[in-house]
Amino acid sequence: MRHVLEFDSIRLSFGGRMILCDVYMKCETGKITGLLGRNGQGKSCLFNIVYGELRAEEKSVRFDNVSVAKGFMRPDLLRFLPQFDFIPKSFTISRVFDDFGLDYRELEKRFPEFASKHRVAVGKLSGGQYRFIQTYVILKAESRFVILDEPFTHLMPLQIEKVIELIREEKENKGLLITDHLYRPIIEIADRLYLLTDGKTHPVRGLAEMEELGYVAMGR
Amino acid sequence: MCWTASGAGIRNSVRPALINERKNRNRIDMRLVKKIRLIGHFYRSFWLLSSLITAACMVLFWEYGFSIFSTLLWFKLATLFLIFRFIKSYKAREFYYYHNLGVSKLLLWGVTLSFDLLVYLILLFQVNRFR
Repeated sequence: MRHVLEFDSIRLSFGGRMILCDVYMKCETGKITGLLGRNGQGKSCLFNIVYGELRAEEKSVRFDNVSVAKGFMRPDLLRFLPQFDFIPKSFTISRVFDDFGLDYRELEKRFPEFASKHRVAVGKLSGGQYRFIQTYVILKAESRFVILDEPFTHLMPLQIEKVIELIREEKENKGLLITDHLYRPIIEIADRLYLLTDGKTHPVRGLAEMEELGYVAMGR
Repeated sequence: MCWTASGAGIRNSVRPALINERKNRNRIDMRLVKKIRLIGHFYRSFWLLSSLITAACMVLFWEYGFSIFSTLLWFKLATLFLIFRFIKSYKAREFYYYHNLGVSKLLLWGVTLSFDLLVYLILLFQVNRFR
């Protein structure tokens, strides 16, 4: 079944500086929506507002046309991968999988580097593996939409490939919103792209439009 | 809806509904167990410090009795507030874990602080009984 997540009318300012003022984004089941933007443009703030973690002066977040103010109260609708490590370091991988209702054997089968590590605390994993586990559980857990804030951070190229593969797989039954500073993989996998600049979202199609908006510098 | 006159027919049409109901109930039970386990883990992040404060209050209550009850109560509330402020910033990132599993900050703090305070009061009254 197709579901739609839309948000607009979001206003956010810090100390008189307007961060977000004219935002519209739409995400659907079966589609990957990418958000790009320079540092400090408010990408993470925007996703935190949609998730309900950050309070905005105004906002409208709708799931299938029904307004939901606190997305974090509805993991069946939305799960969120923040840009930092969020799983308590003392938790074992099997404990995390159990909490998220996932089968650890599936991970072992697909990614042999995690074989017989189910009793290992996530804090004992390498930085890349720790990040990978966090991305994996958020992507795989039951939900209609997933927000991924910098899922490629701390990952080596091989792991990035694996995450891209997982994202493509999960796209079949979820809607995905994704942002990262590694813009090339985002451009590669996104069905719809937005660029956030000066507090506004601009739908963009390719690198040329991004260059026009000052996000990338080509041919220099 | 399929409605058959035979007993076997009724049983066959009712059974899937019962199985589904049981499955749903099990799922709700599992969710509740998971939530309790998560709240328990969150409480573990400050129970030791809180228990030490409770133990100190019990010793003082044993010595001085009800004359210092209100002072001890305010002391306990003040320390709980300090713990709250500390954990709120120290564990800020971990709250995303609980949120992703449907456990809000309000639920985490509400249950753990109420439980801690309740244990504190029960223990003080027990001290008073044996004093």
